[in-house]
Amino acid sequence: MNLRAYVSKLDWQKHLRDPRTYGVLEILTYLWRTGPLDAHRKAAFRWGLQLLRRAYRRERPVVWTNVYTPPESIWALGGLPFLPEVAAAVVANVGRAPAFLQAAQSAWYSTDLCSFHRCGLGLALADLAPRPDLVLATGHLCDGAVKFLEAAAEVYGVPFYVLHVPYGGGAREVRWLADEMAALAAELRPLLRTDQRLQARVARNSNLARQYLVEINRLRALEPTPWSGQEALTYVAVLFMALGTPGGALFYRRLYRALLTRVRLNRPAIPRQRFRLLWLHFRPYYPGEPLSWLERERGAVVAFEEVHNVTWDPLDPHAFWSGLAARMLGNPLWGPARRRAEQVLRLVRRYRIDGVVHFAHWGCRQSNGAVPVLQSACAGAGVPFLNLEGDCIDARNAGPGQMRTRLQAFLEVLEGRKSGDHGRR
Amino acid sequence: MGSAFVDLTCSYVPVEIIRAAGFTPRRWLPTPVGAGGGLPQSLCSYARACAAGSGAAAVFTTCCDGMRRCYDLRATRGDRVFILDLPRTAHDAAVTYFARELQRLGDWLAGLGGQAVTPRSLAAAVDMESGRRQHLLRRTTGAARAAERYGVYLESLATSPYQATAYGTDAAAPGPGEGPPVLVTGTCPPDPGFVAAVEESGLRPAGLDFCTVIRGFAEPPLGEGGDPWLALARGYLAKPPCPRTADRARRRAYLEQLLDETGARGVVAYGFKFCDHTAYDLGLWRTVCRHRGLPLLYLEGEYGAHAPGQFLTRLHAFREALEA
Repeated sequence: MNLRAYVSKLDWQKHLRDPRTYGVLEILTYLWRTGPLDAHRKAAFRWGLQLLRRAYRRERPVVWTNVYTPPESIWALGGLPFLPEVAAAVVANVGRAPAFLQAAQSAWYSTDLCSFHRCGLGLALADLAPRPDLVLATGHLCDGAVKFLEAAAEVYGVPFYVLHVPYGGGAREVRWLADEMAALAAELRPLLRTDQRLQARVARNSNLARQYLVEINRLRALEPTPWSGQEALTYVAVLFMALGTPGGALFYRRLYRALLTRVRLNRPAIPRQRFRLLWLHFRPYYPGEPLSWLERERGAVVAFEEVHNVTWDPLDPHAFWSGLAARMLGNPLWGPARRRAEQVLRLVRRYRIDGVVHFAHWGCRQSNGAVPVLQSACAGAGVPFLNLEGDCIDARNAGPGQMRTRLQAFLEVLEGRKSGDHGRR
Repeated sequence: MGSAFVDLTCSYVPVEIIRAAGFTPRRWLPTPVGAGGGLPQSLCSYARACAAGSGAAAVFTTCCDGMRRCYDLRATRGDRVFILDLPRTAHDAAVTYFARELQRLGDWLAGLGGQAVTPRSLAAAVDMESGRRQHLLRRTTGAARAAERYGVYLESLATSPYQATAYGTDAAAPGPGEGPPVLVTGTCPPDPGFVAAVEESGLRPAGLDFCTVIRGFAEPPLGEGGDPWLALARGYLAKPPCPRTADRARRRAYLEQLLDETGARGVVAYGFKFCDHTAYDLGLWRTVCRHRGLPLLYLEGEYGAHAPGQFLTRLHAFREALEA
């Protein structure tokens, strides 16, 4: 039997659920020889494999949650955070999303819903992801996350908790949310078998990662920028899941060193950088997405994306829940859209941006609904703005040709501005 | 000033506070905007329609992403708008939080030129609104046709004061319907034509579970004494749960109760395109209906749009299935 025939006969689902698969892959990463420019990739990859191995082995209770829930809250309680939205992006990246989207559709979940969530539900229905011991949703950013996690909790028959995140961001709201988080932590302690000492360790790791991320962001303001948006929007998974762990801190330390080396050697990730873009929302994760074409072939580099902006203070282990509450409430993507628009304009100035691209992910009401406010703010500041319709997960929902045409037209606008001596912000 | 309207976009906004501040609460049921309105097409048609203001002050809630963005857009335009943060659960901390939000609403209304809301004025408004609900329920109890009853409900919400034409209309019509009883459910207010289409197809709407009907007119259990803000917060959070709430057990118990009370032999769910809450609630309906062996029909439309012929075809087929 040749290798291809052997591989095609493998029961992939069984192997994907087997923790030993990830253990073997982890060992194989030791054969991966990296240099100073890509050691961070190995750190992220190994950390991800380790998480999956531990989650499938059920070494610690697995907590499903949504993006923008500070992962430190789960690490500090002794749980393993698993984000089905991130898993959906990984599944899309290997071209397997349609099967899971179809599974969700067969269970009456409308194709109008966010495909991150539908794919996550498909993974739950197929029982392919690590099974949760409990599900925790935070009610900020979007409604879909709460509802889809609630549905997933029902699929698995596990407890579902929702944390109400106040709409306002004042001191009173921070106190209220911190109390809620502390109360929830007390309630979850018996389930998660936590250890009080974890909190200090998690805060220390989180702060270390934050410190490197601040430095990374400083380097990204340089011209040419040392990192590509395509890669940055891939490793956003580390931000959502690994903050608070030694692996997260290691990743950001290695990334910082890689970018610093790039700056010192004058070897930017994208050699020819004609335009600097600010990217809003996430990117398409399926093969053949247009971002690499945009950066590598058209020289329009994503100098920064809003998701990586550090808007929070270092965590104080003695005021752990207050720190996390303040971070959630200070997220510019939550609350009134004008807050997000103000952040966009700040980032445009800081990263000397030529144009802003909002990726209008299908089914994302909270982000797409903010477009009129963002558009108006950018127009007021004279910043070109493109609302690029597409889908982060479902390639069938986005014509790559159409996206390229729109991006090309946008670049022509930017070109016209440059040649017309409009200059840069 | 006392007669000025305040538009509401969600049934979780306590009308009592608006009344106590000397304003007249009115459910905002604007003209559909089609492709206009200023919000993207991928938001539900009701949220898009609400982006067009009436000129009156308006109160939004954080009930859905679409409405939050509608509030944002109108705030950017300089409209007099307020957003009330609505918890998804009804536990004690949520009640305390919501009570503070209600006080913030009272302060905002006072800032608009209304009266300061006091426990006394609030108590009077609670009595007044309770009387209006009772009156409306009495008026509609005898109505045989659900579409007519629904029209009265809508009119009483959208025109104000409540004693407008809705109260002057004799909603009662002769003879109850004969078709199989069904529960008609959904998130947002459908056009009265939709309820009429259900009846026209030979089905008998034994219950109308929309935020403009059962969930909007349920008497909030306010209790006696204590802090009126807390009582109002608790009462509103304890009213029949809408699909937005994140307490699936409570929502399920409510749906089961509705089915028991109405004796429905099937469920017709109606939702607006791009309404995420409806889309996720369908999963729960599917579970409940499967458990009870009831057929479920889902129809999707647009705010303010009449029921298309295709709906009638599907409703007829559904009736035939129920009668088979």
